[in-house]
Amino acid sequence: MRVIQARDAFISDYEAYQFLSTLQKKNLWDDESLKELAKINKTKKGKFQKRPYNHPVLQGIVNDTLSYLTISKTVAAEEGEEGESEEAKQERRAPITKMNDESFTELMNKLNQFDLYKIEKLQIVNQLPTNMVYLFAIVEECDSRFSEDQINEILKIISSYI
Amino acid sequence: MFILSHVKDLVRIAPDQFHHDTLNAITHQLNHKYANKVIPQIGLCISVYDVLEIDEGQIKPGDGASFINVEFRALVFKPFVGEVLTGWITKCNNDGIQVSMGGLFNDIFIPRTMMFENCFYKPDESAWLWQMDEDTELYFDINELIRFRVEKEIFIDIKPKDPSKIDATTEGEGEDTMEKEDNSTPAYALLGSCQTDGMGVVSWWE
Repeated sequence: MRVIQARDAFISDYEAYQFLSTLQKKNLWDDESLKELAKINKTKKGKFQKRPYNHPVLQGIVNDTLSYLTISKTVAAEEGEEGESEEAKQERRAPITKMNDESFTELMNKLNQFDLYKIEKLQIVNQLPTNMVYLFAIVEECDSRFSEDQINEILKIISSYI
Repeated sequence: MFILSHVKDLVRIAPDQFHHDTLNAITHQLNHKYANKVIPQIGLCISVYDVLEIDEGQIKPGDGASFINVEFRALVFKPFVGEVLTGWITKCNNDGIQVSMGGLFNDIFIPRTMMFENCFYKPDESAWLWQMDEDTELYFDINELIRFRVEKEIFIDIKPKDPSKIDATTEGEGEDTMEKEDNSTPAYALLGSCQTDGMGVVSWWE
């Protein structure tokens, strides 16, 4: 093994989420495909049925990473009560799961008008901070670089994508 | 949190894999080698992202397999120093707080020297608490969401296990071996800090 470039590119949580969920679907590891397969297996025991890609290690890490990425991290993790409605569950999912390529580029373009460093923008789109304390933690010397109006505008832009 | 790493490697495709499409066979072998493994000095490899270049296969005398030089990019979990991350508190002890990021990554530690001022450990409740001012005490409870800043990454070269020791442990009692595995040093660990506003338990700042 030879590492040619340790860091070829940064990748945002959104891109990682998209890539991994496509991989999960393609290999029939997601919940829906698994349910469907279970149904088919019950009805007929044919020889040539579709099977999930057999790779337990990869499946494990992909599922774990996705479950980390889908949990909302802004609301304190309240233990899901039993009999919780589907809707409430959806709401607790991280905002990046509800985005698509268009809204993501739009958000990126809107952030470009501010004088933010690349690394700060990456963290903003990854974590989508909703309050000022959180934003200040990500953006260094936020109070001297930006006026209060600008900070509020950044927060407003972010909140419109959640 | 994630990066792409450009890596070159020699892949061995066994003859029983020859009926597969080359790209699929190579990705399978690469995932086998890299998925959920720590690459020293880089980070935790999640999976192969894309394959960039596939050389022609070569054969070696005495082996029916084909050897192919491949360049690929891997999706790697590697937070940079200074990045703010969120995880769950799993353990508190006198030395600090252990944090986990779901099943993704568990070897994150916040040492006592890197916490807020006026933080102290309560041995009888085995919890850390932060005395924010005179009458506010905030607890770092287990399973709470915690936000921290990455301060340092530590790579340890783990040597393969001594075969004689492996035999000894498998013969021993099952519970013992489990405990030993838990205490083994991780190949890749992160040190975090909770010293600035916005860090610490997420619900404090909402």
